[in-house]
Amino acid sequence: MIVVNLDVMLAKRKMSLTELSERVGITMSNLSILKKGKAKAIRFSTLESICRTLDCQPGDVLEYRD
Amino acid sequence: MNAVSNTASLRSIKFLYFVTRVLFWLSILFSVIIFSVLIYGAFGNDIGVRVSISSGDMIIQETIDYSDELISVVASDPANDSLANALNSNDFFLVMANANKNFANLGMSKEPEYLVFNQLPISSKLIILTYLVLMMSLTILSIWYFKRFMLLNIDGNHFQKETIKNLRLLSYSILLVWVVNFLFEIIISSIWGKNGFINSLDDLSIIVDVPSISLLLFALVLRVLSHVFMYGVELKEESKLTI
Repeated sequence: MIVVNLDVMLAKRKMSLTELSERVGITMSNLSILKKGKAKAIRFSTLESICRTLDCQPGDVLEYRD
Repeated sequence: MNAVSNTASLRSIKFLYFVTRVLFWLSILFSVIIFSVLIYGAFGNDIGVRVSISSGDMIIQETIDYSDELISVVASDPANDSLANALNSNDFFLVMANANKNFANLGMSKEPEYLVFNQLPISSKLIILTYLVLMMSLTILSIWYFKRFMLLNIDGNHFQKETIKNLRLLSYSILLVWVVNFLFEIIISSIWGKNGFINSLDDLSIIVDVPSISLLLFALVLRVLSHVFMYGVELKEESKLTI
């Protein structure tokens, strides 16, 4: 399964979910869905924005676990 | 232009919903009246209802000229002793009525053949009552599911699980109407049919006729459509949960 480590990256960058939401341009409800792992899919454009804002790689946000 | 056509479409759906509501209450009223009359007739009271022995269809006595006099003529004729015995020994009266020629016959006529409902044995009455109760209940149930389906569509819940569930249940109830009708026509024709149980293609063709096949196809098409719409619901949810 794919695990979203958004909260870990946010903690590392000392950034709140509200700040990320404002800087990436995604609604809080959508970010919350992504953070809780309820999202079915993520667009490349969204992933790109998150990686640019958090200065990280896609693999830092997404992780595959058995 | 698109908004205008959408508004017109919504209006027509609202009108259809109104018609369905009226139809729903009328069907309940109609079912209660029919059931009450048949229960009254089941206790031996003459309600003027005749039952077709070939199809189980029921008619109100208007054109059939059936009288005791005709039966007594047949029964008193020495040449028809066996016929008279057959009439007397039968569990119930077998009355072949003909409105135009005004004669009684046994098993020879091609004219429609009818039984007097209140003179049927209790087992036959129960079969007819069960058939009618099942058919009326399933018809009301189908209209109710259709009404719910329309209401959910009017509310804008087109691709919702609840809406599609109603469509699926509607298809099942229509399918049950067909199955019940098919089974009871077999039962009725095997009890009262000339050939006993169905043993010829002619008898089968009465049961599996074109309107009956249309109903079956309609139910199956609705079932497939509900499956397609359910896939639409999944796509909508997936789209909603794509960030």
